[in-house]
Amino acid sequence: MTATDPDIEHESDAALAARCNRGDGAAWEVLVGRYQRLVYAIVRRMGLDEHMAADVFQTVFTRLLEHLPRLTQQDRLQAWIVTTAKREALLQRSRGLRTVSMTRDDDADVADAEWDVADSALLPDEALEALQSQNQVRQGLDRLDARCRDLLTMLYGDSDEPVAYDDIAARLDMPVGSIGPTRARCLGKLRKLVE
Amino acid sequence: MSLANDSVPQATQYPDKTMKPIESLNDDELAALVKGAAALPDAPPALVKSALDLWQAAQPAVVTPAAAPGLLNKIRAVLTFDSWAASPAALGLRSMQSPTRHLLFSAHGRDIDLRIVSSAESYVLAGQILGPDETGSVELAVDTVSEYAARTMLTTPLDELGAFRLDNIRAGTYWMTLKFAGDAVELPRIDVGERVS
Repeated sequence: MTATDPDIEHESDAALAARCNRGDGAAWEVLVGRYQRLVYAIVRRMGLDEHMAADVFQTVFTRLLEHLPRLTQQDRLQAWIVTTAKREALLQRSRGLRTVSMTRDDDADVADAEWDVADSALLPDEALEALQSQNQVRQGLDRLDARCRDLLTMLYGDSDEPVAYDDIAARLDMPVGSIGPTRARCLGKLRKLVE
Repeated sequence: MSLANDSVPQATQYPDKTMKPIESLNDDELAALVKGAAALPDAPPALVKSALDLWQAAQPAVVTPAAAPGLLNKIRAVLTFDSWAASPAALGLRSMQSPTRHLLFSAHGRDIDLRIVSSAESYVLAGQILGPDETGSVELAVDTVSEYAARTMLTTPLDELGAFRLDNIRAGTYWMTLKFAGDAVELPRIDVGERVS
């Protein structure tokens, strides 16, 4: 199962969901790649250990695959995934803690108020919103041309030690003075990709 | 591209308490978001692979037309249960991790119950065919795509109850085929080893 159509990576969630429903396994591959980081980040932020997080991760994608044919709002796939990840993580926590009893509506496309209240302390809405934005930007980074991606990664990568401009200039073979303008252009390209 | 380390960042940098739409962020705000995006960890590869494999498992079994005399119908089984994928509560357990992995496959009227049991430094694959056939054999082949070794094949007959057992199996990726009269049932690729979290 390989994504042979290069354009498929850029297709909308709705288009990918429709492809999946027509039996296109490459679309499933793209969807998993698009959302694996977000789902994993959510379940880990909800305080689940690695084993519980693994169970929830698998459950979310299992339920997504089952749910795709019934998904009524395919353009809201991300919302469905986020809601399902939160719910399953909460269920897993409640099973472990034995202190919370909850119900769920398997077919809901959007969050219900009861869940929003229950998880607000674990994963505030603004944190969840930020994770979604970060995931979008990460996908944009993956689609940037290599030069821009390398530059932004060096400037804003996960290293605690910022990379010196001299080092960046040497590694990317560009004058130090052009780093600032190139950075601005690359951020502009990234902004367009995630719009 | 690998931008992330293995840890899950606990502190997220928010440009604002309430996120503005990305297209309206200025360069500094977008740069802060890029920093958070670069720190988003990938899910462990084993988890991603499991999610990808769900697709194949969900596809209906493929049955070839009736085989010519002497040839076998090839039937692809689908995974219907994996104890490692099921939540502890679904199994009536809490968070206990069982050393035995229990897999169930379905193939055109037959169910295949497979248990992978850790035994010292190797594994035992024990199973039973639940269906109309009780005679046949089981072939286990190393996946030569994932392991650059000469293709090795282990074969064991089914006993009178349709059960089989393969001992001293090393961790790795395998293909299992069950052969009955006229049919060859291929199971999806099986990963034998410790649970990867």
